Amino acid sequence: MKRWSGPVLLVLLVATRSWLETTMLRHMLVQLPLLIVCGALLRPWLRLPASTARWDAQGLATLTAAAFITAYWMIPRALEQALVHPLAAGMKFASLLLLGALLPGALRRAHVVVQLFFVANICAMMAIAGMLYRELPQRLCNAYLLDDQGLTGSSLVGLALALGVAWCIANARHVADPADFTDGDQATGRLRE
Amino acid sequence: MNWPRSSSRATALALLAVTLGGSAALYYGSSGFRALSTEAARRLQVAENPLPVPPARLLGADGAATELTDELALDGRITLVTFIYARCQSVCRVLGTELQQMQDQIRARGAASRVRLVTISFDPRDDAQALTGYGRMMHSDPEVWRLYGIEDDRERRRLLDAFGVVVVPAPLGEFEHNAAFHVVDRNGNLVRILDYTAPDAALDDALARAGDPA
Repeated sequence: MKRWSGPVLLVLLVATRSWLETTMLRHMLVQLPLLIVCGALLRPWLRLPASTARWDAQGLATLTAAAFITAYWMIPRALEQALVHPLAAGMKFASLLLLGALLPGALRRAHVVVQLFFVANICAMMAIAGMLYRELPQRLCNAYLLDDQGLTGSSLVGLALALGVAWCIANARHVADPADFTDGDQATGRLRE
Repeated sequence: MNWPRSSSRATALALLAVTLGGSAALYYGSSGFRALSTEAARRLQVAENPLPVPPARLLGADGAATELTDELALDGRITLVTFIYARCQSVCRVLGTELQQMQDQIRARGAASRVRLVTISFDPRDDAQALTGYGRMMHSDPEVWRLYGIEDDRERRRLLDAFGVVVVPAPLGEFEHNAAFHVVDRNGNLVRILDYTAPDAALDDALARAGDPA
């Protein structure tokens, strides 16, 4: 049953693509995060080779890719290209699904300090992008309305805060028990999405 | 933290690849770190590569049909093209007032033989009557400022695509669209796009291209 959750979600995301992409809010804050979740759920089908870990010690390569991929799809122009160019749309799906598939393993390998570095980095970037979206008086995407852009900005700030808080809660025990701090294997966190 | 030596070399290579690939993607996505919005990228691209205006049959406010490419090429003046819809209550209202002032400026500078204004409606509902009403409201002088609609849906689509004008239906029967001044040279090439908030810069650019000292 659980095995099928990935393919089902993928079919849903493809089927609702145009509806999700009609507003910037749904596009950026529903479709994109769900694609990452979907990638994670598709792992039983993707069968990533075990040697992935060798290329991704401490999850460094995947977490760096996560920073680049999230930054890229927060560029308004990139988001808009995914609306009109099939190649850009394909790259959007592929990059986020692959990121989702690699992320759980990377987080399992990454020491809590490495995680902190990347989570803080990505959340800060997302919050700053959100503030820009909120404050700019001009539209960043020709395809989306200005009110939609402001709402997306506020939601990006909200998501950045929520991700940061969720990570802190998931890793609170490392702070509570310093002995646990050295145990890299346990630093999985619950930040799977 | 155990970190085997062989793994660290592989990871360093993977990290290098990710960083290079990611930087290249960001470079591409932002037109070389110069444009974050589609609108900025569109303006940059036109400034660097002038774009021939595609053919489209225009319907004038007087009810007569003309071909856009002829209209631009035969006129011999530098043209500032703007896109509006007649019922607009927001951006094109501002644009309309600016165009009115530009018309006065052009006449005051005696530049009506070198620079002119063309406004095209992207609203299929704007027929000759609606355009005439809009022209009357804006006090447009046909010698300096002409208003047109486009009847054929496909031609309208193609023209908007070529100019990079995106029209999004908004609440209350309005449209949201990227308003700007489009400078078209004597050969019918779109050569520059300036923001609708900068009418003086747009007029100066057109006058400079027409050979007038700014």
